[in-house]
Amino acid sequence: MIADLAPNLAVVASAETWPIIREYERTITAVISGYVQPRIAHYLDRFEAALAEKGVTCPVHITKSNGGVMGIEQARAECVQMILSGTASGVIGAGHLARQCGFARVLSLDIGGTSADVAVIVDGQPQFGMGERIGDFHIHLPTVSVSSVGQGGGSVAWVDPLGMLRVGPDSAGSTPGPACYGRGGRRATVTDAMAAANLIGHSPLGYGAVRVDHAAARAAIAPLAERLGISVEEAAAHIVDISVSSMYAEVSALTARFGIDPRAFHLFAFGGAGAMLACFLARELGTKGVVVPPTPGVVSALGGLIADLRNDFIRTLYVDVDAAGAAALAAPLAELRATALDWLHGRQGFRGKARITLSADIRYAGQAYEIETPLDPEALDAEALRAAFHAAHRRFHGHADASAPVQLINLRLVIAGATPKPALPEIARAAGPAVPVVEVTGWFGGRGLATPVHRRGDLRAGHRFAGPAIIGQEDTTTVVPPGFAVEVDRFGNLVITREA
Amino acid sequence: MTREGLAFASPSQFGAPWYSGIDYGPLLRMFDDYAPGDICITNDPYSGNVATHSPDLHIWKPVFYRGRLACFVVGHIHNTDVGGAVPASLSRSLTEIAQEGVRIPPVKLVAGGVMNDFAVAVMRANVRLPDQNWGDLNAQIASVNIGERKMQEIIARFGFDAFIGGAERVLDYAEAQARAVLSRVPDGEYFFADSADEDSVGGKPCRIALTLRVSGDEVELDYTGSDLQLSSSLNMPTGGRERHPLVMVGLTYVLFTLDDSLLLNAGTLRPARAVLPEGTVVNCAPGAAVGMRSLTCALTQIVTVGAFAQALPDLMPAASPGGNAIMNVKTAARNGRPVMASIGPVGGGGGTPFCDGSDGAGGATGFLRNTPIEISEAEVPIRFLRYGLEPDTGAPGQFRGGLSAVMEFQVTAPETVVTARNRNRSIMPGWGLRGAHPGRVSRFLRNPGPAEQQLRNADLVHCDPGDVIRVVGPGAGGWGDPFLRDPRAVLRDLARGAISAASAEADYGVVIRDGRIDAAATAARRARRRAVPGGLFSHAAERRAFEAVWSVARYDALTAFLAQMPVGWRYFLKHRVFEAVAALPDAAAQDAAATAAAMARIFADLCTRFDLPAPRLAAE
Repeated sequence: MIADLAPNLAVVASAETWPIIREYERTITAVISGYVQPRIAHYLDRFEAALAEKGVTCPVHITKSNGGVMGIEQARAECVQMILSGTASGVIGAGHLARQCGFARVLSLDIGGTSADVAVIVDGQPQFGMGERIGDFHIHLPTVSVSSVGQGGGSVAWVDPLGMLRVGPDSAGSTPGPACYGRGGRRATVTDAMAAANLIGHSPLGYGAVRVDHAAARAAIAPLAERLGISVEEAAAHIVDISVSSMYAEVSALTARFGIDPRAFHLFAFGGAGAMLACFLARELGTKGVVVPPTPGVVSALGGLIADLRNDFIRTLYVDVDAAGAAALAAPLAELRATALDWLHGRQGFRGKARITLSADIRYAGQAYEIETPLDPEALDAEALRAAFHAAHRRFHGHADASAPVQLINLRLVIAGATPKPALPEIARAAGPAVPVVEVTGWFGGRGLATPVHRRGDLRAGHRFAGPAIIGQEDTTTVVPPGFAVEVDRFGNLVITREA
Repeated sequence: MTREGLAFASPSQFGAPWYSGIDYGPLLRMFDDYAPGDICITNDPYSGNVATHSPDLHIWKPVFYRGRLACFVVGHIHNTDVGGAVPASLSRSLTEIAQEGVRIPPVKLVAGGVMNDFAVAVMRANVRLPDQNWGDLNAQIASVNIGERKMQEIIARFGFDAFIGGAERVLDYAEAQARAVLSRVPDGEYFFADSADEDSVGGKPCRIALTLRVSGDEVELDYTGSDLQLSSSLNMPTGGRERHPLVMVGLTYVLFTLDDSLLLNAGTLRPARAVLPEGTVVNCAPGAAVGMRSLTCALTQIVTVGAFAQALPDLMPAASPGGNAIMNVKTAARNGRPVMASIGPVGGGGGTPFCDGSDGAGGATGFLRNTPIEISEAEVPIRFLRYGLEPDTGAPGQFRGGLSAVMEFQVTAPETVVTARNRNRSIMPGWGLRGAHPGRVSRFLRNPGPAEQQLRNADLVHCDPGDVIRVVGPGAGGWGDPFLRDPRAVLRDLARGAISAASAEADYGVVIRDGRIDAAATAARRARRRAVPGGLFSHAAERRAFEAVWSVARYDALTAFLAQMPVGWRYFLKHRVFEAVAALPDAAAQDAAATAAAMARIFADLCTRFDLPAPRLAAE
């Protein structure tokens, strides 16, 4: 009808964007979709034209917030699906690497200039959530669940009027950037704290584009140290502690939300500053260790390249989980399955085998929210559904009530079509011990320690050495505090663990 | 909580932000000793004055580290129903705490790892939907268990002594923050009073009076002059504790508005103390009904903002109007099972010196979450006809008040009971600041239309299938002269349906023709301006009419008189005085001496009539 009245008006139907019960959540998502759609669609048109001009003929895939990819036609119509795809790609890349290298449980840690993004990855699979935030708005679409905290290498340290040292939320970003980058930044940042502690800047950074000025870092921190009545090195240590404690608080909330114990996880560090701070965060969280992949600066790009075709389907049912309710699942499930297969093989033209996973949003009657509960497609009777939900509830909340009535709100289906993945190259085995290029005095917790500096390119599989140590490479610096030890695995990952 | 019971950390992202500075000390001390694994509960407002009405079930658990008590983790949940005389347990019509549901005195729910089944059975036997309460209780138990584990992790990381010292320093820091804010508030004494519509069903207004004394970096909130204890459930069970959270909510809001980096814990309240005379609505005697204390608490917030507005006229907003009803619908589902759901529209936020008030979410109640109507419809056999923002409900101002929410639903099952908690502002609306308009009254109707029934502040409505209930939240006051509002903002409001064309012209002096501002006509219309009300506050006609009879002097005389009467007589005598004062000439027609004499005569007559000891006169 709208098309008759106003043929040029873009129409977004919330029931098509994501058909869930809860009118506000559904509407806000549709409104955001309508808001971004014209510009993104226009951009995609130009992008496609530019590719054609360059003679690129392969089909274009666009990354999605759910960690998958979709064809460009769908992207033009459902732009809202792309909103958090950048962080999602990083998580997908980290998940792929972690699984290939045999790390079953990792927390991805992507730290850039302004924020630290953390996600839970089990067996290469990220966790998904709905209602992730963009500014003031919650986007109700299945999204790779990423907790973002406003702490990065560029976060600015300051002393508040009551004499308390604070870090962030202001960030020097990339311009003017940290004082030690010599691009006009004057305020002390977390990166400056690491430089003032002499823990970074001993090898070329940013492929030669960045030179670390240690004196500038110390000069930026000096006035803060003076106000606090402590040394520059102590102030630098406190700045790192405060920044890391903000990350700890956020990651704690994340682990509680997904009911996981960080002690069973590795921190998988990437982004420009991830490897610089990962060990400090690992110490607070008590994780099993830290993994730094060979090229931490390009993990997100890898994620985009290897992502599967993936789409989510949902049907709100609102039934009691009893014999009648369980029987009522069959028809909608068959419909969802048919729609999903049509999406993958029809609209996306995928020829391979479809991977389908089932879940349901379930709750105790009376609760105001649901838990997404994985379902076994072979066991969809009431008893099995209830058992699956009780297990999920116990995992998230520490208890379950086997006698309470249970309601199934939404039935959900995810379809994926696997895309080819490159095999990871293995690196050469070490013939002798790792040899540092230089030894510097690094400051840890205000104490100066003799700290060897290694070049990443010199390290070989099987190399093992204890912290303190610094490992420099073009796209990041890995800092290993005392009490940690590094081992290089056959893929060239730095695997850093706490010494017993 | 510290081992002494002072909150040193409280959530900032969820829950009612009223209790950030709570002191559990009186409750904690009711037990001689604690052992690892103990979990205690109570909902009794008169045991330690920590719980504030019966639906709030408080829970606390000691955290031990290597055998030493390190801190407590605590929390409370508002249970939708804890039994008593009405569904959802709360109604202003109730007159004693015994009618407000089951009272669980402080008890170890878990001791030595064993659940106290009797305590659970008592609770279950005395509530309407025991499975809901049982679910809530399990959630609470899980929360303190996780809290205990998290605290133990922190202590293990930093060490016992560093943890204990750190908690103290967090309190000290919050205190220093609060003092820094208060030192920027001009010293002085600032008085403000406001009234709830009714002190009982169909009753008289209930006044909250506050004298705010700011001196250096400290502040005293003297509630002397507030109404004496009522025989309805508007009383607040503070026990006279000078930092009781219920009388400090407004202060916390003001401080946080002036500096949103405040930590908010018990340290925040250290520079403050309240004066809470016994036997008053702000400090009732044990046994009094307290269910609706949030209505009264909303008023304490409003008078706190009003008092600070005098000290900081360029920084304070018009108060959120209060009287935001929390509604529950209880009915029988089609299968006969009773079901209950919480819904409820609210008023907007007051206009501020910098921007309009927030629409549909009063600043003071932003912590209440929206219940999607699709969920309510799925849960309860009711059908929503409207849920949105009501035009022309935000009081005109240079920065207008936020729009009120409107909700309209149709009942489809027999024996449906709608309870509307905290209904207020149906008779006397909120106020505006600096020449803005005051707020509008809230509306509550059954079957809107020619045969509509005004429900005003009713908090219990029995409905039949087909009945339509319509609620419009109380309107928020504005800030600043509406004739100074940017005409483009008026045009935008009109285009968005926030105001009517009539309001644009009459209230804002903005003439809009064919969707455009007529600049010349607007200038002419604004030049013929009405007289701008002088003074900081603009009050509605309803309040001015009330104050024409009830001047501050007369009301002060009333509360001073009642304070000398036995607690059990106060409410009764207040109503007799109201009847007598109605016969007096307008307050403006009497000078101070005549007012004092007339009031004294009324009091003396009543004491003679009811054989009560004669009151001392104010002058003596």
